[in-house]
This record gives sequence, C-alpha cells and structure tokens, in this order.
Amino acid sequence: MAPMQRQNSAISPAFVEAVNDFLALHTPVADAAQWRQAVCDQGWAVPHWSVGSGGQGWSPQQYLFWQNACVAASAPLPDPLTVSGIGPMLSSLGAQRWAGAIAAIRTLEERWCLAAPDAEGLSDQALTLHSGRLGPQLNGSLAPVVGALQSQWLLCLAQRSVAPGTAGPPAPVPEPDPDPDPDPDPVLVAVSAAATGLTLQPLAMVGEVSAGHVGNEVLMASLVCKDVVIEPAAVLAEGSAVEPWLTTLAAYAPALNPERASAAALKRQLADLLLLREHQQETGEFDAQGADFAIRLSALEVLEQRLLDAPQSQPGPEDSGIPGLRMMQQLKSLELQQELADAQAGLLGYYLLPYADPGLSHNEPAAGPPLARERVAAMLAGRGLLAAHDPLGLQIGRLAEVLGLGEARP
Amino acid sequence: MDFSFSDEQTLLQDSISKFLQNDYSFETRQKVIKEEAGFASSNWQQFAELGWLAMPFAEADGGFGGAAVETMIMMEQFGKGLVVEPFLPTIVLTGGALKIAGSDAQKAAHLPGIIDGSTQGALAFVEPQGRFNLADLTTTASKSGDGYKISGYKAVVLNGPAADLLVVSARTAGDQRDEQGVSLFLVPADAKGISRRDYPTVDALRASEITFENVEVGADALLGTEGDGLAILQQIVDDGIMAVGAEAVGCMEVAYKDTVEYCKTREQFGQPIGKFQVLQHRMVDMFMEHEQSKSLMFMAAMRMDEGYGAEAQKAVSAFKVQVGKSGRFVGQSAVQLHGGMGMTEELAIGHYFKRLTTIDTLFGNVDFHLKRFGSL
Repeated sequence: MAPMQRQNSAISPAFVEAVNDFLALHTPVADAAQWRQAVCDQGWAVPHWSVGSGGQGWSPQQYLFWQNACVAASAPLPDPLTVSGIGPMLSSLGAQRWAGAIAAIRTLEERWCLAAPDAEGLSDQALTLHSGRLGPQLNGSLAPVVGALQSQWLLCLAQRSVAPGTAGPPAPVPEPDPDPDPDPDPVLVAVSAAATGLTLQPLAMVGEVSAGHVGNEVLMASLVCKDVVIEPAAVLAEGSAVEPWLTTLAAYAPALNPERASAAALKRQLADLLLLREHQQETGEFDAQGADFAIRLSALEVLEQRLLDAPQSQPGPEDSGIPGLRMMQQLKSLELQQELADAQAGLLGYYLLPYADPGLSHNEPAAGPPLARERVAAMLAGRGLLAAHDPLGLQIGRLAEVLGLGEARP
Repeated sequence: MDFSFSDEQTLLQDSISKFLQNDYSFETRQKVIKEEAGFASSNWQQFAELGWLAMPFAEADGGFGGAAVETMIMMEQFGKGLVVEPFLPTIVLTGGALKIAGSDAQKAAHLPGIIDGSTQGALAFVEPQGRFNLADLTTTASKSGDGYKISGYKAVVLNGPAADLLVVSARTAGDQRDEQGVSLFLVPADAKGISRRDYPTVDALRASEITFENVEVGADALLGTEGDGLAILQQIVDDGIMAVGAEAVGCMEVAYKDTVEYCKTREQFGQPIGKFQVLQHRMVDMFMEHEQSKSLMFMAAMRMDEGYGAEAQKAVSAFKVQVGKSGRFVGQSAVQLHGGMGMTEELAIGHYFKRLTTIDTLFGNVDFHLKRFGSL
C-alpha cells in the first residue's frame, strides 16, 4: 500500500554496481591527475550533462549517488561551479561561440572560479569595466577570491563605469546626479587567469602556515586587475540578466562543494570527530552532542533526497515544489559544517593552541599530536571559507524573501 | 528515496483535510473539549464510518492493512486541526497492542469494537517514579489460580476517563527496574478493584490516575508471553512516538503559517511587523525547524515500515529528538511573535503551543531520546 520508500527506483542495481566497480578499481586515489584521466576515459567527467553535450544524461539522483560514492571513497570530484554552473551557463549563452571553453570543461582540463564580492554586486570592492584605448578594460582589486589559483578562467562581476579619459580633450566634470542610480550597471565578464594585467596573489589562511609551508591547497587569492583588455564577446551577461545568473551560480559556491557540504561529506566529518573523541578518550557529555549531530545529519540526508524528488521547473537554487527548501539545505549544511569544526576544536582541548610560526618555531612542527595540527588547520581554513561565502549573513534574508515573509497582506 | 503517496494515501489525506475544513474549526474544537469525555462521540462515530479507525489493522481483522505511513498521514492532519478525539490512545496504543501481540481470540474479542467505534482504550504504563523508563514498575501481577491479581498505580493514563479497555504493564517477576519480568494485560476498565481520578490535561485532553487493588483477570488477559512484555511495550510506544511526532509536524505547520499571516497584518511603528528583519529571520528558523521535522518523519515512517528493529528504533528516537526541539522552538516563537495575545484562550496559537509542549514529554523527551539514540 505504501510507495513511500527508501529504495529509489531512479537508481538501478546495474548502475550501483557500475559505480562501485569503477571506484574499487581506481581508489584510493594516489595521483589526482591519473584519477581525472580515468574518470574522463570512463566518460564520467560530466555525466549529468546531456548526451548531446558530451555527458551521460544521468538523472539528478544518479549524479548525487555518484558524488556521494566519490566522497565516501575520498575521490576528488570535479569543481561543481565549473561543471554544473559555468559549463551549462556557457552552453545556454551560445554553445558554438563557447565550444572551446565547454570542451575544456568537459575534459576537466580547465576550471573556473567566480570573482564576485556578493550577489548584488554593490560592494565597494567591485571591479570596474570601462572603455579604454584598446577596448573595454577591467580594473580594480578584489579579495578574497576562492579557488582562483586553481582556475584557468575567472568569471568576474564588474560595474560598468565611465573612466577618466585616456585620450583626447579632458572630459567635462559631470554635474552631480540629484537622483543617483543605486544599482550601477553590473556585468559578468570571462577573463583568462593568464591575461595581461591580471595578478593573483595567494592568501595564506590563519593557521595554515606550518613549519614554513603554506597549506597544500591555497584556497584564496587576492585579485588585482590593471587595464586587463576584455573582448566584447567575453561579456557574458549585463544589467538585469546578471542577478539570476549569480543566484544560479551561488548554489555551486566552494563552501557548498559536495566534498565539504553534502550529507555524505558531513558524515565523514562526523566519523572523523568520533575517531578524535576516541583518541582523546572523551566520554559522557559528548555522547549527546554526537547523537545530536547524527540526527541532524539524517535530516539533511533526507532533505537532499526530497529535493531530488521534487519537480524542477526551472534551473536555479529553488525547487518549485517547496520554495525555500534548497536554500534551507544550504543553510543547514553550512551550520553543520561550522558546528562540526567547532566540536573538533573543542575536543582538541589545549592542543588547539600550538602554532608553528616559521620565524619562532625553528622549522619544527607545532607541538602536540599530528592529528591535532591537521584538524586545527582544516578548522581554521574551513571557517575562512564559510565566512567568505556569506559574510553578511544575507542568505537567511534571501530565504525570507523567497518565503514571502516580508510581503504585506494584499 | 521515493516520497510520493499512493492514490489511496492521497485520498486519506484529502478526506481528513476536508473534514477539518468543514467540520472542525477552532471554534468547534473549543466546544468539543468542554464535553464530559473531552471529545465528541458523534465525531468518533464519523471516524468509524469513514474507515479511519480501521486503517492500521490487518484486513483479516477487519482493517485496511495500513502501516506507519498511513498513521503518519492521519496524525499529521489531526495535528493541523488540534483534533482531540482519542485516536492515539484507542487506535494507536490499545489497538496497536492487540495488533502486535494479541492472540486470535483477543483480537476477535476486542478489535471489532475498537474498529466500529464502540470500544475506547487506554494504555496504562506510566508510573510516578518511573519517568520514561518503561521497565521501572511497582505495579505487580501475581498468579491467582489460573489468572492474575494486579495491584499498583498508573499515572497520566491518556483517555482513562472514557476507556472501556485498559492495556496495563505490570511486573510478574524480577526487581523494580529489571527488563525481564514485565508483562502486559488486557483489563476491562470497570473491573472490580479499579478506581480512578479523572482530570483534564493542559492541552485539552483527558487523563486519569488509576489505582489497581487486587484486580482479578483471567489467563486470557495476558498479552504475549509472561515476563517478555517489555519488548512489546517498547514497540507500542515507538508506534505512539511516530503518531505524536506526526501530529506535532502538523501543529508546527499551522503555527508557522498562522504566525506569518499574523505578522503581515499586525502593525507597529507604522508598518506590518513582518517587515522587521529580525522577525523574518525568526520565521525562517520556524520554517526550517518544521521542514527538518518533516524530513525525519518521512525517514522514521519508512524505517518502521521496513521492519521493526534497531534501525527503526533509532529513526524513531531521532524523530522524537527533532520534534521535541523543533516543536518547542516553533511553539514558543509563534507565541512570542503574537505577543501577549499568543497565550490567550481565544487565539488558536496558544493551544498549538501547549500541544507541542506536551508532545515533547510524551514517551520520552529530547534528552531521553538522545541517550537512547546513542545507545542503539
């Protein structure tokens, strides 16, 4: 009598077997480049793309299963912003025009990052795009930009502006605008990381420096653009078209990467926490905390499944079945990431403190057990990533809008 | 996971929703709770005629073969309407005891009356010293001829005043807190030696304190095997948790939506209070707490329907933890955002708050179920 069940009919036993067999053959991953090649050879680099676009036409349920299996096997996933956000964006804007970039995404040769201070683009940190002698030019600086050092392309949010003249008679000083437009014209511009005039400097995270080495993966960079020439075709969206794209791409932000934010990843983090607890021989009070995390994780797992089950009438972070559910998933995941990291820090006790400053520690690693050092670095880097994701805590306000909470009764 | 309902389940959900819309307004409910029994027997008869009382029982026993999902659907709707009719004590708990452990003869003797609405039931398992420990019993059942003699005291027996049939937990062996030696008995509520003190509860239901003084019952009153009743009682209670948890999910939905509507109309400082960001954030949190509970409700119902065991028990405890925390938050926030009026009798919101508060206590609170989850 009850079709409501945990077994998902969208995933066949043959599919499960194929995924498990592939992972058994290629994991644990010793060489990231080899792993990427194996995934591409299998045709699973972008399996959720349509067959016509070079994918496998997998359903969202199949893709989630694959992602969860990779997370459980500690096998790296392709950058979601690139393969699920920007790749489809370029396809929709002109698959022919962007064929080269799409092909490079499909073969995991190139990665993109998003250089945008916030979705509305109203930060004083915004880059500017103005007409120069050689055509449109990008200027300004922005920090932090997450994932920039690992990317070959940047999708930059900029504001169109009228620059001081670089040739000809001086431009007249404009009259002050009595009614200044609060929303300067935003644009989304594709820029190569190797472009002339573009500089990326790594930003070391607090706690990442250990015995003179910056952490293995530098998550953040500062971006400086000085007269970077932009081809007109590289302007992907402008004006009112920008915000919907930013909203769509926000769903693939680094803090929401399935490797960190999925229920599967958080489960691994919880297992890690319980291991740490055993190591620290903590008992009693933590039992309730561990149980609480496990319960909230179960709820997140079910929420992930509910989102897959709901009909999707349009791309974007909201599913049409229950408005706000996808944003809720993101908020709850971020909340759990933070709390799990804090719980790990709590378990470290006094060994949260040791820090291997290269100038003071004589190249010795920080005091304390190795697992403590790793966790401190991961906790602090994770905190930075979460802070970069939603610095003003605007997500909850956006969810309020989606839920229609501020609307007056007609 | 597949979250879709079958046509029959959708029909069930819709029929209860229609009943609430047409025949069970808040004002109607306020009149019903003033009746002697605390519910309207006419409503109970209507439930029987609509087949709702038969839903969870096997077709061979005159039911419709429903499982945890059907109970979930029904109780969520009942929660939305703050329905006071004793579906939980009579159908879920008493009927559930017979479904799980009743012999063919016991089912034949009692289920028809439960299904046709003529028999009311109550599960008498709480004792003042026991708190949430089902095995902590001072009520004893000693052998008397072929049958037993029951003596002891049961507290907060929901639907005690109206019950015709009691399911009573008593110790047939062992010390006060031993897990072995617990037995369950079917006892007519008017048996000699039973005395009651009836009272209303804070959430508008009815309950009793029941004293058993050498109450004689036959051998055929024993449910299941003597001394092995704890496992049966635990399963009954877990069914009960599913039911009240789903009821709480329904309550939370209404509490949240009513609060959103209220905040759109109530004005202060020259604008609807819903425009204040801090209140919007509170309402977002209410939305998320409700949806969290709903997710775990689906998980628990699915696990229970896959088969009762440790995984199902874990899922049920997880659900109870969530419902306890979320219910308290949503109920308290709803009252807070309504201001002083939130705690008055005339507004529904205060009644939702009370029901959510009591549900946290029923069958074990947050702390209890966190420990239970961790131990499973």
